[in-house]
Amino acid sequence: MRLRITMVSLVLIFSLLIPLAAYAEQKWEGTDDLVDRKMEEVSGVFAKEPLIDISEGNLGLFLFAAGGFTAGTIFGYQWRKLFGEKVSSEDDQRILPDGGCNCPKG
Amino acid sequence: MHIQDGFLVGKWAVTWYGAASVFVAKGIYDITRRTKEVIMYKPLLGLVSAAVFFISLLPIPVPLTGTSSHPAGTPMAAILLGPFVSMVLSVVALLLQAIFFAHGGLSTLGANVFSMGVVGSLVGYGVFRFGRRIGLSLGFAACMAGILGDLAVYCTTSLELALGMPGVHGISLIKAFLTFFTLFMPTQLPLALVEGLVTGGMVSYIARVRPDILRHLGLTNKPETEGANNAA
Repeated sequence: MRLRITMVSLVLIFSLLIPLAAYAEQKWEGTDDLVDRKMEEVSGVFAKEPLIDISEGNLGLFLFAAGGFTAGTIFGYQWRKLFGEKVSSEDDQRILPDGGCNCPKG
Repeated sequence: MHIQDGFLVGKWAVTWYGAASVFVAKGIYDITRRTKEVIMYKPLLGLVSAAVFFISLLPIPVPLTGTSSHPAGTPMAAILLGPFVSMVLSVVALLLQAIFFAHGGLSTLGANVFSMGVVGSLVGYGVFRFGRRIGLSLGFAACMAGILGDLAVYCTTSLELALGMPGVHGISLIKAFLTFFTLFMPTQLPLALVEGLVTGGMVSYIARVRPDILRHLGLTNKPETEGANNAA
């Protein structure tokens, strides 16, 4: 317990000692963008255009919503398979290849 | 971190591709083998794949700094699926993100896979195994793996950027590394803690609800939910 508190405290103190948000131009700007800007400033080289320009209209919003929905659906489906199926009777108990039973507690 | 196209000189882009591909090949072999050996491996693979894709794309605002960034997700994947399989998941996630979400690029995919996939997975898995060996609870060992794995990803990215910076003369490697490292860390340190809590929480949850999964993956030997109540 003491080790945990010490470790968490050290990380928190370390994070607070570092000068914060000295570089962000906009609120909630991504660190990726900060780094891109620094790279352009230091090297004079600009990032190439992305394959799909998601800044056009609502395209970015659509893609992020679609990506989030797809990932959420897959996650939820597999989660239900692994953790969501209740064992209601002995017949429903899942038998493992080694012959053991993985019946949930309770 | 997603290094954008154009920010690495050719030789380094190729080098990172080569380095990452060796590990990814082993990961593909492991997936084939383990899906045959462990009955619940496929659903777990699907679940963790979706989680890694989502986590590594999710910009989380950090009120301390007023900026946002995303965790990696690969330390958790490495613990649950094995470090090499986690690397394959990072390829899928980063490829989709480069094509459809303007996050990263195809020429820098090797570098991004190496930092997030290879280093994040190996450090996360190594810390978890070491933590268990020295007697840490399951949840706390996973939490430390999440924290240190996340930070290792961004250390590696800083190094990749410093090594591969195009057209720069007269800047030492250390100075270039520190330039990027100090940009990442204020935002990434609090997020590493979040990643640690999520990783520890997930492993503890599985240990409590489906301990058989962890036993079959070789993460625990005993049937009891060791350390589940001590989750971070």
